[in-house]
Amino acid sequence: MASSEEVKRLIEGCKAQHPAAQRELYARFSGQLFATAIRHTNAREDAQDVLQDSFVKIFKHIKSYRQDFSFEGWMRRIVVNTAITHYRRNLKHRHHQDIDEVHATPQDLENRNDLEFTADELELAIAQLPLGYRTVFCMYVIEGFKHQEIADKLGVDVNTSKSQLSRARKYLQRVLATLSARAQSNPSEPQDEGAPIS
Amino acid sequence: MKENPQDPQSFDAAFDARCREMLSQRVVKAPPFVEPTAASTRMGRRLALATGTIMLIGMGGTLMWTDSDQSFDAEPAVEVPTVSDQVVEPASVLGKEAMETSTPTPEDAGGQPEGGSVEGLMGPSAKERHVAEGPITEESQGAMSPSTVSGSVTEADAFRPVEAELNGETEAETREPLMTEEQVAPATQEEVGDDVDEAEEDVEPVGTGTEPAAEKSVEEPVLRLPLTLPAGGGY
Repeated sequence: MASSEEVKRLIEGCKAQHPAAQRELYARFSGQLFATAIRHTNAREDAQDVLQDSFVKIFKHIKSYRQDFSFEGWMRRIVVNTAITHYRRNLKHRHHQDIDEVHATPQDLENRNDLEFTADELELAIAQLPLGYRTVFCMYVIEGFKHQEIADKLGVDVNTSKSQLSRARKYLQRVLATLSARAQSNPSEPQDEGAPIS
Repeated sequence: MKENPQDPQSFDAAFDARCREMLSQRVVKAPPFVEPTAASTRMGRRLALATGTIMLIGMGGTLMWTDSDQSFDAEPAVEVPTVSDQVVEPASVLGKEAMETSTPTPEDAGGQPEGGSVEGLMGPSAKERHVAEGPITEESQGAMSPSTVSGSVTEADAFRPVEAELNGETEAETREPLMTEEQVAPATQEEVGDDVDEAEEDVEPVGTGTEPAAEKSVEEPVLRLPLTLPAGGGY
C-alpha cells in the first residue's frame, strides 16, 4: 500500500500530466480498482473497459481532487460510477433476472450459526448474484453508499434498493452456508472454488 | 461467524462488516497500462469503429453503384438489338417491296423525280404534300397496296376480290377500297376520320428524323393513303 507521501507525489505528478507518474499510479492502484470493477460488471472484458475508462477519468479530473478526501475512495467512486454508467447503458439489452431464478438453495441450508467462508468464496457467491442485486450490495456494503445515493445513481426507488440489498444479502448467506456445510461434511476434500454451487 | 438468530439485524451488520473487510482491500491482477489516448478509450474505440464502418459502407456502396451502372448499361445493350431486329426485319422486307413497287412504274419516271418515290415513302410530311397538291399517284398506290404491282406475288393477293368489285369505278374511286379498313393498319384507323392537319401532327412523330429509311418506307404507305380518301369524298 502506498504511503500518503508517495500518493501525494503521484497525485502531483499526475496533475502535471507526467506519464511516469501516471504509470506508477496505475501500477499501485489498478489491482484494487480492477477488483472493484469486476464486482460491478458481469464479464472480465467489461471490467477491463470500466477500468480503462476510469483511469482516463482519473487522469483527466485529478486536478479537481481535494486532499481532504481519501484518494483511494475517490478513485473507487469513479470506478463505481463508471461501472454504473456501463450497467445502465447496457441495461436495455439485458434480461432482468430475479434473484429467485438463480438460487436454488434449500431453506434448511440457511444455518447462520456456523457461517464460515473465505474471501474467494465470498467473491464467488457475489459473482453469482444478478448484476442489479450485486451492484446494490457492493455499493452499500463495500463502497459505503447510502440507499438514497444508490437509488439516485441506479434510477430506482429507495425501497427497491433496500429490498434488493436484503434479498442479495440473504442469498449470499445461503450460498455461503451451503459452502460451509459442505466443507464441514467433507473436511478432507479440498474445496473447489470454481465449481458451480448447486 | 457466530450469529444470534434472535437478532437478524445485528447478524446482517456483522455480515456486512465482514464482507467489507474481506473485499475492500481485494486486489486482482489488472491488465497492463495503456496510454490514455483517444484510441484507448471506449469513446475513441467507438469512434474508430464507426469511422471504419462508414468507410466500408461507402466503399461497398460505391462498388454496388458501379455494378448497378454496369448492369444498367448492359440491359439496353441486350434489349435494343432485339427490338431493332423485330422492327427492322419486317421494315426491310416491306421497304424492299415498296422500292420495287415504286420505281418500275412508268408514271413515276415521268411525274416525279427519282428521289420523290423514296422521299414519299420516307417522310410523312412528303406524303401530306402529295395529298395537298393533287391526286395520289400510282407510286403511292404501289407503295401502299402491293396488289397493283404486276408480276409480284405479295400479301396483296388477298385484296384482289376487293379490286374486282371496284373495277367499274374510276381510278379515284378505286383507290378508296384500297384505303378501306381492311388495308389500313389498326393504328391508322383512328386517324381516318380526322382532318388532314390533325393527322399530320399525329403522324409526324412516326416519320421523324433519325429512324432508318427502311422503317419509314414501311409505315408511310399505311398511314398516308387513308388520310387522303376522306378528302376525296369517297364515303
